[in-house]
Amino acid sequence: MRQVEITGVGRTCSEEKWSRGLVDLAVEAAGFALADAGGKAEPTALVVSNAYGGALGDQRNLAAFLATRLGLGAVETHSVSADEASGGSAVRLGLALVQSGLHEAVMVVGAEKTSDALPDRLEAVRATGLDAVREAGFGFGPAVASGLGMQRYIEAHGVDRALFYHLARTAHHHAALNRLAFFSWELNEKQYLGSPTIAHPLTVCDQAPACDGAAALILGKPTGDGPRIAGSSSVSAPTGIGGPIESLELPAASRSARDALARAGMTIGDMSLAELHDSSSFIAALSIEAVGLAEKGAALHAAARDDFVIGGRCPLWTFGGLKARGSAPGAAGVYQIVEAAMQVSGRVRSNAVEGASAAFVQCLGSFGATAVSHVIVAG
Amino acid sequence: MQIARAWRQQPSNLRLVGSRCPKCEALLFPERIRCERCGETELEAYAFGGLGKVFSHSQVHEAPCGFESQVPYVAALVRLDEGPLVATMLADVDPEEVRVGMEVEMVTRRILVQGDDGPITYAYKFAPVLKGI
Amino acid sequence: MKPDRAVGIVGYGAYIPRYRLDASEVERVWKGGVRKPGGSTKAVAGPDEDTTTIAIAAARNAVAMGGVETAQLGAVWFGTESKPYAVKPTSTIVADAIGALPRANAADWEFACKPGTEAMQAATAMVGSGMARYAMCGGADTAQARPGDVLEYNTGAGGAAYIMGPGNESLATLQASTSYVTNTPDFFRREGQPYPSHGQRFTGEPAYFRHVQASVTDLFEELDCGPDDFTFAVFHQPNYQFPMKVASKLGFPKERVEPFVLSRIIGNTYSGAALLGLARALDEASPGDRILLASYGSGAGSDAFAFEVTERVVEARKRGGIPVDAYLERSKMIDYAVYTRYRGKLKLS
Repeated sequence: MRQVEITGVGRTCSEEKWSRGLVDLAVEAAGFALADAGGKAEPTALVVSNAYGGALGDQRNLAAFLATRLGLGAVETHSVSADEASGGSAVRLGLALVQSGLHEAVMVVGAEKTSDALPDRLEAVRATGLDAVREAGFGFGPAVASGLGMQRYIEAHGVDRALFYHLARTAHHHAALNRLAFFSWELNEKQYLGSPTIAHPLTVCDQAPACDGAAALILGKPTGDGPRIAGSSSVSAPTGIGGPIESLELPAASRSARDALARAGMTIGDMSLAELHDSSSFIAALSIEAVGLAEKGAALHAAARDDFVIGGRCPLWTFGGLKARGSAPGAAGVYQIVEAAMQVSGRVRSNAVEGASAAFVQCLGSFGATAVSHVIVAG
Repeated sequence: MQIARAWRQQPSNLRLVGSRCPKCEALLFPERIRCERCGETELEAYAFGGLGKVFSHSQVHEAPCGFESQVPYVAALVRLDEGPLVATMLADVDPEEVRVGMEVEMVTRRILVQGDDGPITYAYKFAPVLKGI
Repeated sequence: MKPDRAVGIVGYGAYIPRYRLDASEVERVWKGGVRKPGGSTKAVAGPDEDTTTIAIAAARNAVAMGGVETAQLGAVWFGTESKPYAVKPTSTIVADAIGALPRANAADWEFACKPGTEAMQAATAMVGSGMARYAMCGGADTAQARPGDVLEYNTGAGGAAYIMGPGNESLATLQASTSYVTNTPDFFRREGQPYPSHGQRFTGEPAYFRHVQASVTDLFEELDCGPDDFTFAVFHQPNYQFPMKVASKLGFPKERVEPFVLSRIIGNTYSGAALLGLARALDEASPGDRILLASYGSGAGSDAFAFEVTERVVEARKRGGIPVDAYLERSKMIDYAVYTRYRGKLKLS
């Protein structure tokens, strides 16, 4: 695949930013990325990802408004909305705009503002990423779906419910080293097991916490020594929560992982780290298995063995993942790439993956129906 | 207030009407205007019998807004006898009595009420089969 | 009153919600109660149930037993005093749910506790006149009582549906029916009020007893018969004492009446009450049995019916439907707190 260079990155803190609205969060992250590119980049296209804005009564066509605030002139803009895969989709679109030769520099910004909505309203909006009529309309949201999935996983694979703890433990362990993370603290087993139930057996600690945040990157031709996007793939699977719950697989995640890695001429074993979609313990476990980091049913055991902790076989969620860095869903896919890019360019201090040369990144939308994967390599 | 949308869903909500593809014989729930498997667009209305088995279940304690009045409810995937998997709630059963494989039948219940002055959505839930004589 | 053509019940169905509140709970909360549990209970609709869902369940049971093609129903008529929509018929929703639309009359009836039997008379007339082959009628309620009021001990939820059709297809044929109606304000609810008002002891002699005795006496006269000619007698049952007392006054022996008084288990199901009692009687009946039904509705009036059970009752039961006893046995006790939540008595906004 024709590589594209990441010439600048930026991200805001993941938090409940009461004092800042959606557009300003995006402006902030974009500013960081532009500064990081050293003022060399003059993007002529802006792709902005946001999952819930319009549904929450917030700004639609966000890219147009961001372009104005950044003084970007007559840039081409795209506003991408693909549930929690929005960020990855936006990056892929940005990539295509550069690869095609249509633009020399493209800025991709992901932003999400969740704290203006009350939690039950937010969950109702999140639910419309599932089947809006047949699932959201019948009392299902992503939490309920993951609860059902977790139940099935436990029964089908004969695992102890407590074993899911190790996924959250891994994420928190890395977030404790990330000063910009939402939950920048270690999680002990007692806290995990004592967490309130949302949809049995899924508890608060099995769900990524919703927060506000924005991340941005600038893509350009591969002329410098910045990290590269070496592989990219977006694949879909049939919608409907029944599929993953019944099969305990994420076929789109598997296929897009294979494709992206193939385009980069690499395998999952070549990856120094991976940023996977840990929106819930259920999805996290299935993602690990889908991309080939564990056999089916073995993800939790691998996590318990510290396979995914920095220093282990393949570190995951090196800045905390959605679970502990925080979930600003429309921005998540961009955060993941920013974090991966920082790792492979050795720009990370406390939570560095030493000698990282390649990172696999994946985000999912609509309970696995949309899977966008990228491979980031050192420049 | 959503009126037309609620009305549009009535055949499937009240009578479990889906579609049958005359070309590939697929049975689809809910109704479709195009067969997902073979692309046929002249589909027939098909009323599912309402019998099925619990495939998966979870008791919900924190609900998306609109559903808090029913908490705690048992969310479930029910496999209709004819094949499709339906996302639904179980009714008339204590959560600890629910078993995967349990035989259930469709009942009509209040699913959603839009505020104090909006329409009531009546639709399917599934309850343990009550035996006759 | 008799139709020109023979008409009868082709199928019937009942529905009672599974939740039960013991009367001792009302006593406990409002009177610092000394009443022990187990004396009487009432059926309570769950948070996802209402008159419409109850009517739909009963209607489906009636269709299953009757084996009737619902497109042939000329009318779907339900009566209630707890309509989920003050304006918008419950009957159209029920008719839609059972596949009777679009070519059927569907309207809601109201006369306190007796609109179901009025609809039965009208359904009989529609079939008997040849205007329709079949007509469905029924009554269902999830009636409310003011918290702490004497009515709260037994306002229950439940309903029943009946398909009237040609006499030669019936499991019970109608011999005659009478109505006795006056303008008596014994119990009523003003527009916009959540709970009804009632005349307490005035609801006895001048209301319930006067009208029920009158309609039944008229029926005896029309058919030149008496209490001994009936195998079972079913009366409107707001409690246990009223139906047992009116039965005694009319000359019916206790054992022919008591098994069909369900109020100590399910409370007063208002528009469903007499019809649920009738359903239980039909569940127990054998070919050749004669059944008396007398409803009562405040406002006030009583409709009386005489039915004769045919041999078709045996195969009808095999065809479908759920016996009333199955619903009576299916029960889950709740306490007063859960009851107030389920019945929407808590001010949420």
